[in-house]
This record gives sequence, structure tokens and C-alpha cells, in this order.
Amino acid sequence: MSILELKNVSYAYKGGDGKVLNGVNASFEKGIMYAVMGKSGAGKSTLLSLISGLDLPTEGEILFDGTDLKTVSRDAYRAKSIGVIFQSFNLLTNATVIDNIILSMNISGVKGGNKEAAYALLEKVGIDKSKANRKVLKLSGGEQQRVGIARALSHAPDIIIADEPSGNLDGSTEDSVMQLFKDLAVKDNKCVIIVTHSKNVAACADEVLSINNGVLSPMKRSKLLK
Amino acid sequence: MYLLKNSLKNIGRNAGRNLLIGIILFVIIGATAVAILINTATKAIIDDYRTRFGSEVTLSLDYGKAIDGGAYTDTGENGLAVTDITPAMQLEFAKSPYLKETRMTSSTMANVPGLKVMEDSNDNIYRVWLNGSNTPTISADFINGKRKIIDGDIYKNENDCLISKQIADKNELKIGDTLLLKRGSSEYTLTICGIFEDHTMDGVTRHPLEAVNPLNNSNNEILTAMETAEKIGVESLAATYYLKDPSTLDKFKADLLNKGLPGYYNVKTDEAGYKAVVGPMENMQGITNTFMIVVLAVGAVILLLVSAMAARERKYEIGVLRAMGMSKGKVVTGFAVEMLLITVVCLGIGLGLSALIAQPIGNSLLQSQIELAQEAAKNGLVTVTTIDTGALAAAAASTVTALSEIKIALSGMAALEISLVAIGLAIASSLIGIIRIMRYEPMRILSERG
Repeated sequence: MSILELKNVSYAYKGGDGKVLNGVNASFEKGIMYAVMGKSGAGKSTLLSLISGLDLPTEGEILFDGTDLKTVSRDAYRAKSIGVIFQSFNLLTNATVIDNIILSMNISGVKGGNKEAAYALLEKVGIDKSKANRKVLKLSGGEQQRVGIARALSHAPDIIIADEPSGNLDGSTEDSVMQLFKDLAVKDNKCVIIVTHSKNVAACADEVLSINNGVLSPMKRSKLLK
Repeated sequence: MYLLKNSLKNIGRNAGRNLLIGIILFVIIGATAVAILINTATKAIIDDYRTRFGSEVTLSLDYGKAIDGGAYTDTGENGLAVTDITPAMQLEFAKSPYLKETRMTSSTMANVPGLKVMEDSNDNIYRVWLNGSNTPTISADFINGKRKIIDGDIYKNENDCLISKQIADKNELKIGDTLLLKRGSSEYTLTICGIFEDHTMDGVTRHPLEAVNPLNNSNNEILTAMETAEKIGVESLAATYYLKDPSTLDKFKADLLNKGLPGYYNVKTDEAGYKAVVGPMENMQGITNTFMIVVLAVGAVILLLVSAMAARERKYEIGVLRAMGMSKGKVVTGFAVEMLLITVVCLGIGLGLSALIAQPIGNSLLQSQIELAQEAAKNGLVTVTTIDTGALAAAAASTVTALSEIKIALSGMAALEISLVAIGLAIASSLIGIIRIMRYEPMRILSERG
């Protein structure tokens, strides 16, 4: 059974020219890693904001575990059911790394949301204790990206969405992060959705979707080789 | 709990901005606290004066009105045939519901057969004065020290009386002895309850040709309660009326007219005296009220601007928190807790400091107001003397006095008022900006930054 389902989802910005998403139908399941590819302006970020409950579609339904997001508290959905890794990180820059993780745990109401659990999570994404107590602003782009990943995982959500997660990572870190996502899908039975330009990243996914002119469609893996 | 922890951490994270907000809050709280403290103290003093002294009313003949009213005759005293205010009328006036109290003294000539009096003369039928009074401290002689009870106590029971030490010594009288007082054909027995030292005749010299008259010697006065004097008979009565509230003068006047006061009598309060006492305090209240309004208005505007700027600055933070799933209510609560913590710190410092500086500021303000009043006095407007607050003030109740100092202390009620003003102002100003931003979806906030 799919954990997330999009039914005829359309979206148009107020005062914008036409629909950014046009009758999107898709279903996402746990244990699978998805990659969504598309050109700039194709509607990838809009799709991400709708799936992550940051906005609502102008038409259609987004069902989480069979329930329309319009009928539930989107705050609770964001806090507990979904973890978002933003391209621009969206961390609390004047707070320390560890505070970002602990605050996320607190908001989600994670039991045992303590420093040790947060340190362990950061360790998992390659941030050691010495850096964990620094302010986010003092970290490099790649490190901030990893903090963003740790924060998205801090409350053990069912769905993890990542917007260009490897954009700020070097080659070796990219590989380890992609392996982390793969493990989350396969070993931890999470639904992982990655929005990316990178064919290498998409190649790691179990299923690849393409978004073009606001329409989402499956993409043949053979296209990734081109 | 995590909201509180996060708010505490946020204060440190944004130290510069919070310091600026704290300084503004501190100035507002400090200035408001000084104003409220002075205001509370002056209000208490004014209320105390009103309670203790009320407002003295004087009745005086208006010659113009009397003549216009047809009271002019060729034979009347001063050319006027007016209805005098009789003791009976004065006693009736004293029953007015608008009065806080009436201070009355009566005088009646009488005789005590066999009593040796000072400056005695056989030519006089009456050789003593029987003076009634409804308050023991009403006689200025007891206030200024010319008379002092040295044995026994003030009259408490009917027919009790006080006599001077001179009379007591001359007649070997003591407490508990009785005097048979005769007035006309009536006889009354008075019991001596107290003996007073009397220096009212000290230094008084008689012209060699002046006729000796015991009634001219105040040592021969027998003092008693007004009720006792009324029973024996009152020949002359001096009454001073004190209103509960100075604003009820017109109602009191109407009541007196109903009770038979002729219309050509003026009924006036001792407005000049009241103004001299309370005026500087009322002026101080006016100054501090204006100061407080200006400080609150200007402070609120500055705080609003700074808070609006701070809210804009924190727009991204709000977006991140909302994206993480924090509800609007919790975001607002967190920010409010943050502001509350800053306010509480500023409140503590502000209250402490204002309690220290309010006294010198209050004294300085009062001094300037007294100087203004004295300046006015030189121009013939009012007469002002100064005394300290305390025991002397009560003793000098009948004189026109102004305070020379003001006691300012931080009461629980004043602290509560200041705290409510500060917290209300801080929370309201800070949350206006935050709530405005909260209208936006988190994605919009974050994408705007992007």
C-alpha cells in the first residue's frame, strides 16, 4: 500500500501564468527510493513543498496513509511524518548544530530527544562532536547540508524528501549520503523521495520520475545513461 | 518546557538585538515607574488631606446681597437689620449630611457660688465662663502649649468639667470634686475630671483704671463638653464646618438655606488654604501624568518600530520553525516567553532603580511647586507656610499649610501597576510584528529568503 498518493494534483501561484503542476498522479511506497528529475522551473520545488505539507494544492488531493492532507494538521504532519532536506538547508543559523537537531526532536515530541541521540545522529552523517557545538553559520555548505539531513532524520519520519541533497557535497561524501538514503529506504523501510538534477544520484534510486511542464511521469532508467 | 529553554537560548543568540530592546524597555519602565510612584504618593497625600481635614466652610454676611435684599434700615447694626445666625441654627446646620465634622465652641456666663476666682469682683453676677467644645483639641491654647492637662483627663461623661490649676489651688479642689453652677435660677452640678495648667494670662497687664472683672481672666474658664454646655445654655457659639468632599459645597449651601440660613450669607470653602496644601501635589500629579503618557506613547512607538524590525529579521527563523512543524501558537508563545523574560529582567532593574531615584525627583518637583506657590503668595494670591508631614500636621489642622517633603515608597499595588504596564506593552508591541508574519505560509517565507 502506498504511504503517499497524489491524485490529480494541480497548483498555480496566485497571479502566476498558468499551472505549475497540472493533474499530477503518483503514488509512493515505503521501502523504495524515488528520484524526481526535471529542468529548472519544471515544478520540482513546488511538488516538494506540496508533498512536505508546506503548501496545499489548488486542485486535487494529496493522501498520506490514505488521509487527505487538507483534513489533518499539517503542522503535525511536518513535525512527525515527514523529514525535509532543503536545498538551501533552512537551518537556524545562529543556533548551534546540536540545538538544531534537539529542537527538531522537541517539536516532533520524540521521546528521548536528548543530546546523546542527537550526537549519534550527527555522527551518522559525518559531523563529529566538536562541530556539533559550533554555530551552523561556522560550517561549510557541505556540513550544513549534512546537518539538514540529520535534522530530517531526527524524528524518524516515514517519508524523507530531499531537494538536491548532494548539491553541496564532494564526491566521497555524496556516495556515503546516497548510501545512507538507500539504507533508510531498504533497511529502515522509509519512503525516500529525492529531487535532483544529478543523473548519478538518480541512478541510485529504485524508481525515477520525470517532471515536465507540470506533469509527472515515470522515466526509463536507460535515459539516465545518456 | 522546551519552549522556555529555547527562548532562554534565543536571548543569548540574539544578544545585540535583545540588549537594544532591553534598554528601551528599561527606560520606559524606569520612567513610568518613577511617574507612577510619585503619582501614587501624591494621590495618597491628597486623599489623606481630604480625609483628615475635609474642606473648611465659612459663613459670612454679604453686605451687598443684604442691602439688595432689603435688609437696610436706619436703626440696624451697621445700618443693616439682618437675621443673625443663632446657636440653634448653627447646631441644626451641623446635622447636614454633607459634613465630615463640625468643630464647635460655645461660651456661657455663669456663677459658682462660693468659688474663689481670679481677679474677683463683687459687682459681677456672673464670675466664670462655661466654655463648651465638641473636640478636646479644638482649643488652640492646648495645641500651642499655653494650656496643658496636668491632672485627670479630658471630659468623657456628661457634666464632667476641667478647671485651671489656678482655680484648683485657690479653692483646694481636686479630681472628683463637684461645682454647683448657677445660671439664672437654674443649678447644675459639674464634676471636676481634669485640671489644666493655664498660661493664657501670662504677661497680661491691666491698666490701673480698668475695672476688675473676673470674666476678663481666662483662668476662670470652666471647660466642658458641648452636650453639657448645650444643656446648661449656650449664649454664643462658634462653629466651623468641614465638608466630606469639597465638590459638595453647592449642595451643602442648599441644605443650609433649607434649614433657615438667610440668602444674604456667603457659604464658602477655604479654597485658598486647600489649594495651598493640595495644589502643589495636584500640580505634581499633572506633571507626572503628562510625563508618563509621553514616555509611554513615545516608548511604545519606538518599541513597536524596533520590534517590527526584529520581527522582519526573524522572519526566516519563523519560516524554519514552521517548516519543522512548530505550530503558529507555539511560535508566538516562544517569542512571547522570550520577550517576557527580557521584560522581567528590565522590570527588576527598572523598579529597583526607580524606587531609588523617585524620592529625589519627587522632592525636587515638590520644591519647585512650593516655590511657585510661594511666588503666588507674594503676589497676594494665597498664604503658604510649610511644615513637615507627621504629628505636627494633625496638630496644625486649622492652619493653612503645605507639605515640604513627600514620602515615596514602592507599594505592592504600584509594583503591580508598573509590571502590568511593562508586560502589556512589551508583549503587545513584540507580538504585533510576529503575528503579521505568521499570516504567511512557511514556504513563502523561506522562498522569499531564497
